[in-house]
Amino acid sequence: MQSLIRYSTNILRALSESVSKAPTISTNRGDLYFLSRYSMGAIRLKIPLSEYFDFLESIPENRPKPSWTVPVSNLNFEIVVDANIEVRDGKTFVDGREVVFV
Amino acid sequence: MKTDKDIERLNNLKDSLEEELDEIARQNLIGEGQAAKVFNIKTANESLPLCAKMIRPELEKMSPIERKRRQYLSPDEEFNLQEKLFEAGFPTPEPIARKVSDKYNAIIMERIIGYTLAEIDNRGGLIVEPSWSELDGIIDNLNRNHRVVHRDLHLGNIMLQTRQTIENDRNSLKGKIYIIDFGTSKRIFGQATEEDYNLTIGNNVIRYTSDGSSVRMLKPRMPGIRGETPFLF
Repeated sequence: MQSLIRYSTNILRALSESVSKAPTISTNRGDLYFLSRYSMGAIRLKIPLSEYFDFLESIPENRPKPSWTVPVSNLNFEIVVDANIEVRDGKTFVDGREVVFV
Repeated sequence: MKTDKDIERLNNLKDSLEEELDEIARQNLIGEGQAAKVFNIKTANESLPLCAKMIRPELEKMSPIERKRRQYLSPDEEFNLQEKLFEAGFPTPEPIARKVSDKYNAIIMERIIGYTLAEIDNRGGLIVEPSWSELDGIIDNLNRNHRVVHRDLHLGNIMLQTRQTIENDRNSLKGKIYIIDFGTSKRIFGQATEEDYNLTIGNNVIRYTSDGSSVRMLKPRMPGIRGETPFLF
């Protein structure tokens, strides 16, 4: 996957720093940290990566597109949320449509 | 060891990325050069404006000399260089990501809000801040401290970041200078020499634009009076 999408050092650092703060959304699957400067996010998983993707695939309607949840390794989070997200009332939206990320 | 499910997910990611880049390529074209097209990316109001530099696929089919004339660095090398310069505080758009699909080869980066010096010059605008000498200092810093020569430093590759408009503030534009498009740039050792602005492949010689000469052309002829340059001072 590295050859398809690679994030810059500054983005990964900013996402990594966001993880040290309080999560924007927390569920039993993981914590989502929202970075308003980039409209991106980081997810720190509480479950294995494969289970997380199983969960996403099980969402019937407001499921994120595969390119919106990009796995990364060797960081203090596991997923880059790359989707121009907005967070309102504890929910995540992409282009005005609610999307469940975690 | 990849399972069938891993492979299926990777393929889904590839397809999804291709769709995403397709969608970007259908959005506003904001710039076009010999090596790439630049598209605006829709972002949330308060977040960093973004654009995608999509390298033209036809470059791959060109002869080495033609390709090197248009795009000297590979997109990965260009991204890495921009990342290094940005990290070192050099005024270049913030690099965000490299995205590659079967059809697209993209560099996602900050979109500078403002004008290229070419746009300012063509539309009769005049920059009062920063001064020309600050631009000269930026290029000197690029060459001496970052050991990079740009080699395509025309007015279209120097931008003034500003929220002002030429229509409203024609003779009093203020902002911050940014240098864009490092596709033909080269890392150098020591002082830049004439050699650094030439490339010989077989019997062909490419002569790139010298950074100094491009910037000197912009020098205000007389302080306070506009010459053939968008800089007042």
